[in-house]
Amino acid sequence: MRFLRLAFVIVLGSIVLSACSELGVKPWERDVLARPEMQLIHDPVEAGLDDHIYFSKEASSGGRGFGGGGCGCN
Amino acid sequence: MKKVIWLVGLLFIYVSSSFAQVESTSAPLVELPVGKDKLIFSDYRGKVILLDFWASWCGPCRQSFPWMNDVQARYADQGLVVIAVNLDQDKQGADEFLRDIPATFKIVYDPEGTSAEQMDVMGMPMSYLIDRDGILRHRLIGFNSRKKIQHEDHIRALLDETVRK
Amino acid sequence: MQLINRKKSGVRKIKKIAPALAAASCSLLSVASSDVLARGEAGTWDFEVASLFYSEADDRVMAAEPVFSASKTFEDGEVLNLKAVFDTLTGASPNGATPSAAPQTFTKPSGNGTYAIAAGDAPIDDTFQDTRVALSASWLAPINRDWEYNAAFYGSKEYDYLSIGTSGGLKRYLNSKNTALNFGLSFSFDNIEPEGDIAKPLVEMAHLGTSDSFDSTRDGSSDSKTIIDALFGVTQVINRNTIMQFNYSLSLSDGYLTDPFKILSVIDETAGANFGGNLLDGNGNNIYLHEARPDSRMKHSLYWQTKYALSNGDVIDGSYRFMLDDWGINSHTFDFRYRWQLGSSYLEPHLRYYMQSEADFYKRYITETEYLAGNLQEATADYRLGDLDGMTVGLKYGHKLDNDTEFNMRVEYYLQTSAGDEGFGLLKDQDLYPDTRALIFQIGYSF
Repeated sequence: MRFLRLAFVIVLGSIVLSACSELGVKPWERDVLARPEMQLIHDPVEAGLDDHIYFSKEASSGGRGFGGGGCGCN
Repeated sequence: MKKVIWLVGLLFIYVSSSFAQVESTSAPLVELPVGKDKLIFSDYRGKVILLDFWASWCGPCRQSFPWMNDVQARYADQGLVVIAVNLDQDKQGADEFLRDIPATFKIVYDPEGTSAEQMDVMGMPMSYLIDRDGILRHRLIGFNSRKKIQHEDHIRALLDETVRK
Repeated sequence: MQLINRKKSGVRKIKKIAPALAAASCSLLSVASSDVLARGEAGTWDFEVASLFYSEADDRVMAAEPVFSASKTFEDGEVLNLKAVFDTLTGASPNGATPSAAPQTFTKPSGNGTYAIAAGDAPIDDTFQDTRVALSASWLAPINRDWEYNAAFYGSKEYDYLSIGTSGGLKRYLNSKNTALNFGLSFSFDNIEPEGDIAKPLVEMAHLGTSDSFDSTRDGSSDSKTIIDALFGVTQVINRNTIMQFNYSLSLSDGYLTDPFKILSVIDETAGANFGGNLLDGNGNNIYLHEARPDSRMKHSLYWQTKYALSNGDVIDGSYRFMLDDWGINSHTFDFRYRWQLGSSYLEPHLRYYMQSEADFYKRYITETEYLAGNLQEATADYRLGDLDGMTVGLKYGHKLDNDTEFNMRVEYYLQTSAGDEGFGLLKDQDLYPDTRALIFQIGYSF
């Protein structure tokens, strides 16, 4: 039951988000976002090494995750 | 139970909307402002136009260009004209791209993107197939090996048609 | 913090102790997703090799960690990534005991010997060596224009520790790909089999060469834990130059979460010459207890990141993470980078600030009263679960040789300061919270 409520909230949240279609750019205006240095995790190897250090020396870990952004092609 | 129905309903809307197809409009296209120039479609009456929108930063464009060179060469005598509209805001990007991947087909430049706006470009790259009567018949979003085959099938089908008027 | 010292016997007869720079169970979600980025022209392989060197002051941990990563982008936009990480560690790390005005002798966790700490010195587990190998494979593929999925597998092994895991995720694009909804799930199983077996929770450390029985402090030869992580995120393009990401993650750990190599000192509360000194047992030896942590942990994290490109091509990257768990720890992480473009090179200063509060069962030491009452269920003196602040200052330099090739290097300095109960009596004269200072150096080459 709790999972269902959570799933409902997420889907509802998605609809709210899609209502925010004010935000964003046209598909042909993604030149800057397509640049490698504008990716959310630009260097995954470095991100992994850093995660390892901080995971070993602190009590928190993770939080980051997926990409998105980029050129939005295809 | 009501929540399950809501959930399923919402998911269905999302899933089904992603498969929505948009196909042809019935009136012939007239003209398209491209940068400082205009593309007049009546100049190409009797030909099949592959109108492609691309940019230097678009990865799949690196695959679509060699294919467009290929279809332009193979179907030119049947009346295929490939016109590629570049949407780079800075022409230098386009020049570098064309140095790496030269094009044998016509390139026009629209850094402001007004032509893309008018044609309602929905993704990059995007091509439109316009038949011999100037009517927009197919919208093709994106490019990969699967789509390449579909695009070519559509082209051949349109080339097989004869001019109506 | 579920991280655990690992041990390995380099030479068969000599049992060594490994410190805790061993993240055998890294969150698989960030491994899977982040490594599938490729410079990605279809049909080509992209490689990245890098090596991290980590060195703490005061003869503490030193590590070298080479990484090899290979990605291939396929015709239809699928990406395969293969990664291998090697990890060699040496040095010492704090064992949880408090420093004392008198020399201390500790039994090695393997039970094969002892090590001595001079009066006033920080009690650290001395030299060891350990090597770990981790391999991962991940796959990312579009389903159609609006949906994408990913899957990954992971495994790591060292002499006494095994970790295996898998993850999967979905991405749903909306608003002409201006919005992406991300969902990910990962599952990990870790097994530890230390030399000298697992210690019983909160049992007294057996002193070798006395009437103490080492074996009676042992509780099985191995133990395990499982970790489930779930991530819900939104990536949103704000405008042509700005992108943001918001993630909520949930992490559930279950099983053996204790560090089998950490102990706590028991401190004498009797008025007199030894007030605040170590409590002695019948044989005149210091009493230390093996630590014990709960057997489950639930963590919630909220993460927000923004990347903004300036008109000159420079990029600002800022993020904030808030973490809350059922061990009573909450933390804040601020991370900021500025990429200063210099033609085909760049300089990137980096600043990170981290603050965490202590776990409910964190205790720098156990008092005589608590020890005699005998009703402590969990206790740890591991500074990594205590009240601490960490600051990292770094600089990265990179140079692009061409579109696909880059060389880079970075130097960072990490300073961690802890705080807490300052003790009483003799204990007040000791430095209970020494700083942790580390120098980080990394070189990388992608081609």
